[in-house]
Amino acid sequence: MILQAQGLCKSFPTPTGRLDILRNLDLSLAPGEAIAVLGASGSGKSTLLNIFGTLDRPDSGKLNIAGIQQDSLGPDQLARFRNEKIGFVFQEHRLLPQLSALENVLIPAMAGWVEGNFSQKARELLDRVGLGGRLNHRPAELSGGERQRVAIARALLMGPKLILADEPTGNLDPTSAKSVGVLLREMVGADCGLVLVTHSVELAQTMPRVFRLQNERLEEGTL
Amino acid sequence: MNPLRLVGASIRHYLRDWIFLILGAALSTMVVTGALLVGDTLRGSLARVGLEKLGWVKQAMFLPRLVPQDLATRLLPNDPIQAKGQSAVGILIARGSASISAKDAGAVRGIQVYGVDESFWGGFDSNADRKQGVWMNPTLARLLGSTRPQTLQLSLARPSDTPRESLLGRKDVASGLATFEVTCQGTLPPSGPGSFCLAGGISAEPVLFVPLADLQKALDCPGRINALLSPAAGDPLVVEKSRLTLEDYGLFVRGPSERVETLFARHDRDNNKILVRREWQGHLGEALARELAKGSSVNGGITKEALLNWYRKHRNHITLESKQFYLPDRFAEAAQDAAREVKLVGKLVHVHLANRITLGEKELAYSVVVGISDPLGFGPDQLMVPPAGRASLLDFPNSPLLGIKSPEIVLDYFPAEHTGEPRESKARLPLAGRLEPRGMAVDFDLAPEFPGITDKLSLAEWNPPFPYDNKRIKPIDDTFWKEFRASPKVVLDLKTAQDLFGSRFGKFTSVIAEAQGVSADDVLISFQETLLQKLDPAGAGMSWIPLAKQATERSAGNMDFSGLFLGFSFFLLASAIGLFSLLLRLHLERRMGEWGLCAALGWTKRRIFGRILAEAIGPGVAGILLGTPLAVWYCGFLAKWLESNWPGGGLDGRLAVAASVQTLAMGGLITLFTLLLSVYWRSRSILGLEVSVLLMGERADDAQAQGAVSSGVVKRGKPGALFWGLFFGSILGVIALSLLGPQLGDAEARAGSFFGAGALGLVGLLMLFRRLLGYWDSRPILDSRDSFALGLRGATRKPGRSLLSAGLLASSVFLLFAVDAFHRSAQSGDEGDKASWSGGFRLWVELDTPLYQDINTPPGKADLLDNIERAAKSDPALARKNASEILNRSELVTLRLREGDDISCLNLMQSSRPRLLGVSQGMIDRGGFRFAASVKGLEANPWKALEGEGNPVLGEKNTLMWTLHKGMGDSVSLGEPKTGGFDVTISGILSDSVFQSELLMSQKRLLQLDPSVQGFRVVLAGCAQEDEAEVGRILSMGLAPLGPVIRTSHDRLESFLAVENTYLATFQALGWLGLLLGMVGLAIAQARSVLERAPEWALLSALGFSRKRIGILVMTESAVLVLAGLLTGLLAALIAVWPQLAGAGLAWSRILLLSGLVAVCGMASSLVSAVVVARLGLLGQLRRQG
Repeated sequence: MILQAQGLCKSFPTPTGRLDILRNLDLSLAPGEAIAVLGASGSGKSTLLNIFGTLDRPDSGKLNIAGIQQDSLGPDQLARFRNEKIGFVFQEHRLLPQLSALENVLIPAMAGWVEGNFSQKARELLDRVGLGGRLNHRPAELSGGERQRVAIARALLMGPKLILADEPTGNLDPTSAKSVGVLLREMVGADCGLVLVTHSVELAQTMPRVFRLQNERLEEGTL
Repeated sequence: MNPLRLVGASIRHYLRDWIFLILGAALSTMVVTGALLVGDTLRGSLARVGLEKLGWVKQAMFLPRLVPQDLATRLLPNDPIQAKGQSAVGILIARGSASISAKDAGAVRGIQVYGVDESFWGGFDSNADRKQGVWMNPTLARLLGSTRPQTLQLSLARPSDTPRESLLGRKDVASGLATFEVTCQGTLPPSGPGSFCLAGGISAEPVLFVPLADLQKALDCPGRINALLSPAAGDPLVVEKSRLTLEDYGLFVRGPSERVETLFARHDRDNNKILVRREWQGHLGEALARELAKGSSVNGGITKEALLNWYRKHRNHITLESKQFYLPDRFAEAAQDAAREVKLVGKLVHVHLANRITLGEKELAYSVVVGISDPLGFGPDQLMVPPAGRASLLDFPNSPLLGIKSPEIVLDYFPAEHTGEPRESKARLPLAGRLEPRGMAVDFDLAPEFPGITDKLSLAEWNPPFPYDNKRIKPIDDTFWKEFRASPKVVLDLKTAQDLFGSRFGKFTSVIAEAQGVSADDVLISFQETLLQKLDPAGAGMSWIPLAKQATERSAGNMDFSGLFLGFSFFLLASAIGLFSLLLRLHLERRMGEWGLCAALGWTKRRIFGRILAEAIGPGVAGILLGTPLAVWYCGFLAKWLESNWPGGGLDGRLAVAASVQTLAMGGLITLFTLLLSVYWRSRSILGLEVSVLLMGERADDAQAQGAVSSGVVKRGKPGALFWGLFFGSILGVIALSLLGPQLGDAEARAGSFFGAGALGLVGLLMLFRRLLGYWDSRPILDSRDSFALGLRGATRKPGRSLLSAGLLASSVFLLFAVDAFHRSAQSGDEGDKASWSGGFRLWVELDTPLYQDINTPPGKADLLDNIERAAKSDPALARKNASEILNRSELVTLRLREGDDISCLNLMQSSRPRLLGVSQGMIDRGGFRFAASVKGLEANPWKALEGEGNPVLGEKNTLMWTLHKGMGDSVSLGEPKTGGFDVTISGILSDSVFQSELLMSQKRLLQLDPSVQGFRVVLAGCAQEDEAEVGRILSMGLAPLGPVIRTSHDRLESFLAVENTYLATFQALGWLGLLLGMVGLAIAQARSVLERAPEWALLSALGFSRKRIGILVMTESAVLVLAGLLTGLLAALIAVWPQLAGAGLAWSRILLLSGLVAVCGMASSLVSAVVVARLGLLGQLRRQG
């Protein structure tokens, strides 16, 4: 399994007591598998993704990604794990304005955990997302859809085992959104899992499996 | 919502930002107003100290001679202060040295000794105990090392009526110096009389108070004083002529009655109105006695009546003489006018002594020679004036010159003025005729009385102050003396006599006002009164000086202290304003979306600017109000800094913060203006953006920074014409100034040239850095491992901000190091070089008491060696021999000193009358020293300018520039002509010499302009380096009685340069504070930038960057700016201090230390940013953004 979550719980303190976001959540994701998680605003989709992305820790439960138990890792080990095993695609492209498209894709390689020249791979990835001719363009010179494609290429650079996409088309027009969704699905390899969190039914439809996050639990269902 | 509410709501909403802006404004106010207050403080402190030193004294009269003690009460008998039990107070001022008798310690030189009576003490506090006895002030106690009562040994300059450099002046040390012991009662408290001192300046001088009568007795001048003090405030008091006597002018008149009365009062011991032989002998000649005895009933005695009748018949005139023997010209002129007015005929007389009169082979010893302007006397008694340039010879009974046929008469005589051992001069005059020994020809009263000569019975008993050889005296000489006393043997016309015997002290010895048809006694009073009306008290030194008023006026100082300290605080000010500007910019950028929205909603940009301004004014004013008390603190800090760093500790405890409302208001207004200018500038740059860009909010800056235009098309920065213009312009400037610098002779111009080159270098290097930012920005990061490149790219994200940060740091570092180019130091090793700043003189000796012997002459050197021999503890002969050998191979130059204000930068008070040194012709011919400017054509020896017309003087460049504010060819006033002052013209400018306290004039000219200057007060000694210590020791011992203060030229120059260096250090210290503030600004900017980019860090974290790596990235960005700023500033500074690099005059350790400190501070501020990042909830940032 690429991802195996058992009994994940997460709550946040509020003035009136703790607010449960996730309760005994279970999920398993096999290699090559892509799922979409649908949920209303505030349902805990992003929290779930942050926990899967090791950006947040669950209050309880076990999380195993790519065969590694998350609660056993320290901050640096987690950073390295994220770098090597997880690819992020955010709602906002989160490209660095001072870097070109190619350089933005190369950012994960600059984290210093893995030796090697990723420049060629970055070019290929950009080529694959249709931006082979815009390598040296800065984010300000790209459209919203193009920026998100760069972000997808960036997420794939290190050959992650798990790609986490948080509302990747939230800021895009329907046409761009659709193409980004398709692209995401296409880019995920056989040994890689994809978890896409969205409230867009259209985007969710591009994924083979769809879960709904409601009542602090994931429920697989159909649209 | 009205606009005001909107402004109020905005301020409330962004209160945290505004608080920082208020602090920035407060800081700016603190620096501007504080620096301006330094001017107030120095002026106030100088005035306060000046007035404290004066105590109750508001005016003073410093007399050039001793006057009767009752002058005080005669001048101010009806002054209102008398109602409070005070009047003008007469005191006797002396200067010299003091040591503790029981202690084998060195003497304290240059002390002021005031002989005072009860009325002086009463002036301080009517309830205070009237002091009795001797008291010292705390400064003297400190220098002596004891505050307890004890016996003090004093050596004081003894005043003399007769000019010491005249023939009749006594020049030996014993005569010029009074050495005595006093029992000091203790030390006065620091306030009141303890702080009293009549010497100007801000530093505390050593002062000793001695009872007036005791001091008068010790100095042999009972009943006489030389200064008057008055508590009358305001304008100078007017000296009423009617209250003066001739004695106040040092004059006295004698008529027949007065002469007889005086003679009888002195010598008629039994008061029987008859002088018997033993009483008149030595005062009247035998010839006169015989004449008076004819028909007298008193055998061998002279009756008062007979003598009076004789005088009235044969000497019916009034004689005006001076106590100083020579009658100043203006007094003689006034006497002639007065005589004319009372129907007398004034005739001028000049008497001198010939050591030998030779006619043919025969000679007479020690004879009086007289020059007269007109025939003296009447009828058969008349003494005729010989033809011009010729001499009449008195034929007296048994004269060896009787009957000798010779066409000329030879006079051997000592000149009327001389320094040290006089040299005999010789005059050959055609013989005009011979005189019968009668009438005015044998008037022994023509020669003024002179104790030790005219009162001696025999020539052999003379005790003259000049070399006297009694072996020359033959019986006939003594016979004449007994017969005719001091009657002249040779008569000349006045001009010839003046040409031969005239001196700077006067061209006359008396004025004889002859009465014809009236009794001289009858007109004596009216002559006296008329003469007193004719005499000018001010011209005779009798004018009140409003010391208190002057202290206040002179407290304005020699320079604009406010401007100076504003300049010193420039960096701090720039940093404070820069910080305010930066904070404002950050604030305005933060609200860009708001400005864009307003614009989109139809606000004009002017209206938006008005809103920004309205929001800024409140915090600005609040900051100014908050900063005003801080300004007072800052001023106090500067004052303390100045006190603790002023050379020699001369300002210790003397400065107290003074703040005027005007200065506070001015500081506030300047700050407000500056801040509003900053608001305008910052608003203009932001509001200048297109509305669409503004609407993008803070992110618009990213696009802007990358050259985005409103269309959204990005054009990456290419250097424009401005860049290339600045870059190449600065490079060319550096080259030009670097080539020009070494060619400049003047040290400051040279330093300025290199400083300018450095400043241009800084511009060029910053342009280069800007280009580098562009390069880093455009260079692809293809090597994924190159995370440093990623950090660099971060620095290029906002190149304007990066350049500003690095530029501010670079400018600070540049200025702080580059001012070292102006750091002044006396160059060691050059002292022996005649053409160097020292002129080849290694030692500077200043004497308390003038030296009247030129120590280059054999007698002068002998005196010096005598003193050494006396002081030697073992083998005096050897000590003398060794000293003689060393002195023979040394060069000693004596200089005259006309007292005045120290015009060096050590004296903060405004100088009204610079002190003047008189240099000998030998010194002028010798030349030497380094000059910054000289008269055209005299470059080979600029000293020759002193031989020119128009009172030429030489001055030190620093002194002329900073203290006198004069340049070549400018005129400097050394007092009003009516009070003996004169103007001088700058005719040469010395560079970095030891003559920074004074101007230099030819000795000859100085003595013409101010005959009262006597003796030598300064000695310069040139010697080999290995002899320096020994020569110093020899001069210390040899001149010990005169109170020598010996310093090396190096030390003396260093003490002057220390002031400049203190100013530089102040600038640097404040600059470092400014830099610290700049670092705070940098840290804020960095932290702000880091916070702005929190999502970026969050992204990196999400992508697997460890916190450490993100921290390194953050720090790399900061480090680039810090290092760029530091290196740019250092490199530019190195250009500026290039000359010092070669001369090894650079404090490398300090530079390295401070550079390291800057780097550490910079990195610390980066670390703060990194810590900020580390503490950021990255997840929160992601969530916020997501």
